[in-house]
Amino acid sequence: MESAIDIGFADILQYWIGAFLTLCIFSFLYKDNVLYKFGEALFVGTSVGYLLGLYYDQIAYPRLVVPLFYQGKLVYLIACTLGLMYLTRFSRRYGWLSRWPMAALIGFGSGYAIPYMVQAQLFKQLGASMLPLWSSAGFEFNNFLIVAGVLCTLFYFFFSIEHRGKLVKIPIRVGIIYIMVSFGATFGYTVMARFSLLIGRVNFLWYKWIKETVNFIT
Amino acid sequence: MKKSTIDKIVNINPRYVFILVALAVILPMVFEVKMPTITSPPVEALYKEMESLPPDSRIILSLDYDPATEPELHPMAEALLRHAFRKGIRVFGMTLNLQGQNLGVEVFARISQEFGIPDDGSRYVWAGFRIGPVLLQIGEDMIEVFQTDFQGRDLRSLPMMKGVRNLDEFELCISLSGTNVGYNWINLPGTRYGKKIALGVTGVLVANFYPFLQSGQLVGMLPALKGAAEYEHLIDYHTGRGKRGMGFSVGLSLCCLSSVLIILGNIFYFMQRAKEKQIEQ
Amino acid sequence: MLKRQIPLALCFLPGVFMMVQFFIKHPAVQSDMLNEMSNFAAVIGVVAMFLGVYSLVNLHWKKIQHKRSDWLFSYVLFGSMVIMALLGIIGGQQAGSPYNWAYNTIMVPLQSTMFSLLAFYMASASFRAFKAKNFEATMLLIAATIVIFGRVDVGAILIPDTSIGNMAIPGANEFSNWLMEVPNNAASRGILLGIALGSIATSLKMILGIERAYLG
Repeated sequence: MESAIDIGFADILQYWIGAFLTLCIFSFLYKDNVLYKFGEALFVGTSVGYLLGLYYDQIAYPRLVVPLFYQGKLVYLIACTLGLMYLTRFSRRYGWLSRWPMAALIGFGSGYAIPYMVQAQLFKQLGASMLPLWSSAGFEFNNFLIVAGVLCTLFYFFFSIEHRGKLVKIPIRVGIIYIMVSFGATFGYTVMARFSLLIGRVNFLWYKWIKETVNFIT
Repeated sequence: MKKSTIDKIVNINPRYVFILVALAVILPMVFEVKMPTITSPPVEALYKEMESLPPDSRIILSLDYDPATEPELHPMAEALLRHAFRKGIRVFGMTLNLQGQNLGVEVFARISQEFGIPDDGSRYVWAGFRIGPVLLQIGEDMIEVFQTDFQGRDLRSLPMMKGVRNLDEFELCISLSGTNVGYNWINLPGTRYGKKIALGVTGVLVANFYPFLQSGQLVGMLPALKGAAEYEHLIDYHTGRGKRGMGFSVGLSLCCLSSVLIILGNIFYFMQRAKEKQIEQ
Repeated sequence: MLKRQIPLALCFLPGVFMMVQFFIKHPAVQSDMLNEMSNFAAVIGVVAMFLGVYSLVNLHWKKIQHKRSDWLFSYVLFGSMVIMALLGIIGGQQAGSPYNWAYNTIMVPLQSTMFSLLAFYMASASFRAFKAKNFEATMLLIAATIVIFGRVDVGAILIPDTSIGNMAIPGANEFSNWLMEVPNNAASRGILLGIALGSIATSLKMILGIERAYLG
């Protein structure tokens, strides 16, 4: 069974600090000011410091320091060397060395993506587009719209032939309509997403900062 | 040249619009006018999938987000954890986002405390963040990838992880993400290892994942904060952040304000154009 | 050779290995080699992060030296960066640690609020910039309005399901569900297939050394 959690002074202090910083950033809506600049500098600094702490604890220490110095896996010197080559970017004479680790990462990422894209996004999605247009219930209008939409959308992005003539222009026009509807749906959800972020902050200010402080005092 | 009323309205100072937005969000939240919640098919599908799992099944809950998308996705994590703990489903928590680590620490600790579940690895594990092709590796050997949980305890020593080697021991994988990492979950554990995948995504990505729902590659989806509100409604939890954010008349302000602003903006635009044509003639 | 051939080989070999490993289910490949390669990639990535940190520190150090506008805030940046990093490295990251407290108290409100400012600017843009100047823009705005009304609870109240005689007319909720599941589905799938084909082609070009933009 769920039970309520007791709020203490430390939690209230946390809410007040969070509320102060939230209002510092919101003050930008009126105009750029000292409070916003303070909040912005604090945000950048804490973000970078947070990532440094996390990178050391989660990546550098367990994946480099431990294998190299505690497990004696000298092969990690190669990874270390490749990584340090990135720093040669600051040198005009040896800057070309930074291409080596970049090329390795690009090759790793590209090769990783190909088989899974073919299997999951190409074959499965093509298979899902093979929908019956006629069934025992009669003409399947929604299936027809989906199949027509997929074909017309793909046709719109096919630039190997000129987009001239009625035979070509009609599916392209239909494709544009489908794409605009899809973008409109994305836009509608994006508006909701942006408002949700604001709702989240106002939620915090009202329920956590104001209401919990009043509860704590009374 | 003196500006007409229409020109003044079209070029209105944006601060007036900001005040409208602030009032539209604050007032409904303060007065808490309740609205009935209508659920959508993707959310119902995920709920049914979770309901069909027997007690003691294991699921993966991956919190692949950061504070920027926390307001939309954290309510989903809370609702899913409440449902899982209520049903006795065991949860393996992880994240592919560096900043998701501490968000996960907070939500697992808080929700498990509400249910009186001890942090002994019997009902849940928070493994934290790992980098690399994790989704590929957990299909082969999960223990090798994570080795310890966030607190440094050996995974093999935790009651929930006894007998677990890889994804075969998990019934469902749920990823909550504001980036394209959902595609990786579908490509790798979903297609390569045949696991059931569900996603919780921010509003920006919702439209992109509908093809995967129709193809069956996703068993369900929580779309944006509204999805969290709908899921809270389905699990009968009416004071969650999802419902407080979306289920009440904040939704009214959202649809009215944003739609009305678009419609009004276009009305004034066409009026301005008609006036300019008149002047030209 | 050092500037061209070796980077091309360094791109080709891991690329081919990652493609081939998909077809080899042996644990030596799937567990051991993949683990080592992922550790390599992680270590290389860490140094890339330090490049970014160096650039940031350099920029703000020069700001302080030359006393450019708002140079005092660069001290705030340095101070918060050093304190946060030390808390993480020395103090640990478990629940209840100072690092965790600073993350929840400072970083989460700041980052969330930065992004929530977008709501205000989106509303302002809705009024000032989103104009139905042509047929395509009109289609986009109509679809957006249907989705917005359909996805909030009050939309079902304002535009409910009705019927005229035997013909059912869907309300905002049903119509927006249909819009997402049929036309949006079709267009998103078409775009997805196009992106998949394009990504596969570009990835192959990079592995085979046809695409060399990353060499500069």
